[in-house]
Amino acid sequence: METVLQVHNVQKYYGSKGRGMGTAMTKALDGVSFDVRTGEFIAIMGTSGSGKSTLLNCISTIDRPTSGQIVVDGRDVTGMRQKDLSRFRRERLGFVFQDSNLLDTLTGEENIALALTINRVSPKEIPGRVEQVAAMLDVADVLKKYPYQMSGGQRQRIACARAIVTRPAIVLADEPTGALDSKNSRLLLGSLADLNRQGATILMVTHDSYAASWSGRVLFIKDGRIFNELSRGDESRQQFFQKIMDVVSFMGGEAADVR
Amino acid sequence: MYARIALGNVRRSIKDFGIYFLTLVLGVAVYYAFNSVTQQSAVLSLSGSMSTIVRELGAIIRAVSVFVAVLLTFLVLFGNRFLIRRRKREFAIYLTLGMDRRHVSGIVAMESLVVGAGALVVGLAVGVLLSQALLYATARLFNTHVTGFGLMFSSQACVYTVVSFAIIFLVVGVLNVLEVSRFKLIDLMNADRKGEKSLVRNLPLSVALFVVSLVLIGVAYHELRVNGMYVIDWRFNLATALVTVGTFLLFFSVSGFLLRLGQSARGFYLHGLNMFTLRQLSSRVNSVWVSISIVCAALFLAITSTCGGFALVSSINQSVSAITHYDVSVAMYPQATDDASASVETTQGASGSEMEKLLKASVPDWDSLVADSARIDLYTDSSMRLSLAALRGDTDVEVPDSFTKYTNSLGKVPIHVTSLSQYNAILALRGEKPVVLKANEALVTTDMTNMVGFWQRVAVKSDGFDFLGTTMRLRARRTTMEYSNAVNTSVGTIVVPDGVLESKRAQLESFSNYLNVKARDSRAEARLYKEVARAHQPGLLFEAQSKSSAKEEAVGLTAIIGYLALYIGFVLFVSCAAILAIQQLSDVAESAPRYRVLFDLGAERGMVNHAILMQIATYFLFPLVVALAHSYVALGVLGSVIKTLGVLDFLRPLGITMAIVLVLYGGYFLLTYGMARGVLGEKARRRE
Repeated sequence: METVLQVHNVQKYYGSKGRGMGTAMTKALDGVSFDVRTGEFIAIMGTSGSGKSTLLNCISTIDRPTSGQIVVDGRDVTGMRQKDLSRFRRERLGFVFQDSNLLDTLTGEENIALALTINRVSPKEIPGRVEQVAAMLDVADVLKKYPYQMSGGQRQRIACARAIVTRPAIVLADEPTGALDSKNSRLLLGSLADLNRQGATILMVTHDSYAASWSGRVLFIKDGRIFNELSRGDESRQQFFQKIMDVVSFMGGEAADVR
Repeated sequence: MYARIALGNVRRSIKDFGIYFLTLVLGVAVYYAFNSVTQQSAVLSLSGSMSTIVRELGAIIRAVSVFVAVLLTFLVLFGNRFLIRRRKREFAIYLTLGMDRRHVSGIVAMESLVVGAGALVVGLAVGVLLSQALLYATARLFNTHVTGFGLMFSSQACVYTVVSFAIIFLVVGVLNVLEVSRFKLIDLMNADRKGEKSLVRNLPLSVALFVVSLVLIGVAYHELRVNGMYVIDWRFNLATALVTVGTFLLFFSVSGFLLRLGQSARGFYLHGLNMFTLRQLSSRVNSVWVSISIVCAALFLAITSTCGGFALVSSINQSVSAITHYDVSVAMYPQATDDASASVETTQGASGSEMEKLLKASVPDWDSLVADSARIDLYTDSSMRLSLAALRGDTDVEVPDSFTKYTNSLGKVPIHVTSLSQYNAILALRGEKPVVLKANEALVTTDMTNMVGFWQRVAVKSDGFDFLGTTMRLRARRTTMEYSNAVNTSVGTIVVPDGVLESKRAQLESFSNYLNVKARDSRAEARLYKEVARAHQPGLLFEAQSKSSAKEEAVGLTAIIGYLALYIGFVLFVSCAAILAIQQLSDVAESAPRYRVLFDLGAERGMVNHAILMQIATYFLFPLVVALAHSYVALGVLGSVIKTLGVLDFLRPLGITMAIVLVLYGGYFLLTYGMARGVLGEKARRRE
């Protein structure tokens, strides 16, 4: 299978660089390397402060790494110019945020369509594509509603629809279940897994072992380095969850996260 | 401590305060400059009557300033409310940190004080410069020069300005403190999360209301155009009410209508950020439609008063050259006297020639002052056998539109009579060739420009009219004629051969008598004017109008109207633009999270800037366009009223008004757009 994302020895330092007493420097990412292949559903786990958010920001071109390479869909994003970046972002990347980040002034349908109009997709094509992804994510019945008329889970699924409607190379999900109750979390993760089965490549950042257990592979990050990696293979989700829990408790006993 | 917080706040949010501050400075500067007009007479070399005019102008401006001050109070209140609303979170932090409500109010009051005092100082400095410009404008207007160094500082205007604005800031400060002390912590904390409801509007209802509003405005326009405002009756009031309701409805429904329209044009709606922009516009309408309607009303007032004022000025300037046909023209009236012991039994019946003799007798050195003179006696028939209707006969020539509205019975519009010899004498005084009439011919004349064509058509079609028992043919050879320096007095005056007049003299009575004079020189003209004013004969009244006095009066009137138009127009335009600017900037700041989403979705800066531009342009243009339409109709109606008195040219005044709009309103628009881009730039950088 094709590699859609290559992260190669990425470092991200914060603070003063080379100003004599360089002790104020923080290494948020300290030589992270991994690949994601087309059609994968990968989770990146870590506690807060582990560097997982910095990593996601670097991949999503919101932040630039201090050194190293990030190749998305065959193009190195670390050297791209600002103008190319926003184009690259809207054409090749899809985002799902913790708070669905929908526009409150637009209906569900329009929120999904907005991602297409920004991409200058022909207006003729738009309604069909919106309906298609809405059906995939089971939100056809809330398309005419405004975000404040929807449940949290519905909002988040609309956000997923918005992320994939542009057919991005990779969907980046940042704690997508963070603001949901357990029932809605399960529904959303199910949807993500469905999308993945239908071919979407998903990279999800989470601190929640349960959420991670829906993915096919989990990378554990600690102190800016990749600490461990788990693949689900043929295991059931429950078995995979157990293995993830083991790694998590080994990493630093995050009992609070156990469900 | 609290003072430091307040100062720090002002410094940090200099951008937020920016437009507000600029507006205050402009307000103070204009307020000072116009109020200093009174004292211009001190540094200008002006004649007695002119300095009286300048003082009168000052008094009127002072009176208008009360209205301006009230307007500015509302403006300052409005600006403050927005600034405070945007800072609810900050106040919440103060309160959660355990700061006393009193102290928070103190901080707010302190900030108002700092900004207000700063604006006052800067505004006065700008005002002094502006008043200097006004001073030279007045000097040019009155065709005089500035005496001394020419630098003018009006301490009176300064004190007046400081006191006025101190009161304004005091009122606003008290209201601010009240608002802050009413805040509830829970509301402050949730300030950001509020206002998500009521975004949805019933779109079909909006469309229906929009159509209704257009119909209302259309009906009102029609009513106004048909009925004009010659008479302020219930129809006029109805039209005013309709246009007011229609305008409010229009702004209430227009964004919903635009949204619906946009949605039905798929290709447009689903292109770029159009969908977002339209939604954004309609989401704001609930909170802004009232203020936009008021802005529109204020703009209407500004455009109409500025444009109308300038039009009046140019009309006066035109008519001043049109009316002063004679160096001095004296109207001579018999006057009823209650002085029973007076030796005059009745000068009531005094003939024109007798009055002329008496006038000449009462002015010393008449012959050395006067080069030439010509008297004209106008007669009328009190039984109304000589009326507009009688002269028109059955020719069915239509009377000018504006004229019919101004009077309802043409049979009651009197026509005056004078003799050919006097008419020719006046022509000679004006240096023109005499007119020849056959014994059965009557020449019709008027000094109303819009009646000339009418008379010419009547003269062509008419087979003659009955002149008190004799049929005469109507001629219109030299129809335009003014019999004195007074303006627009004669709808129609017929000139008949002396013999004819003499034979009917018994059936006519004297109407008015003028003596038109050609003075030896301008000094003689001034002297004569003064002497006639002083001239006194029992039972007689002399009223003189000289070329130069008419001009001075006109200049004075011009100055008063022109300055008022500028003053009111300027303040209103700035107020409207400032309200829109503050509203739009706080709107952009409040919508910041939405723009962040757009950047997240990969929208480029250019796209987002375009969306912002469209929004701001809509908010600035829409009330302006509606106000222009209203003004167009109102000025049209007003114009036809004034047209009955003389010509009115709206083109140049409209040009000047639009130039003011372009500079002030356009300046605020560009400033707002620039600042909004700045705000967004920060958001974008945080994402990029």
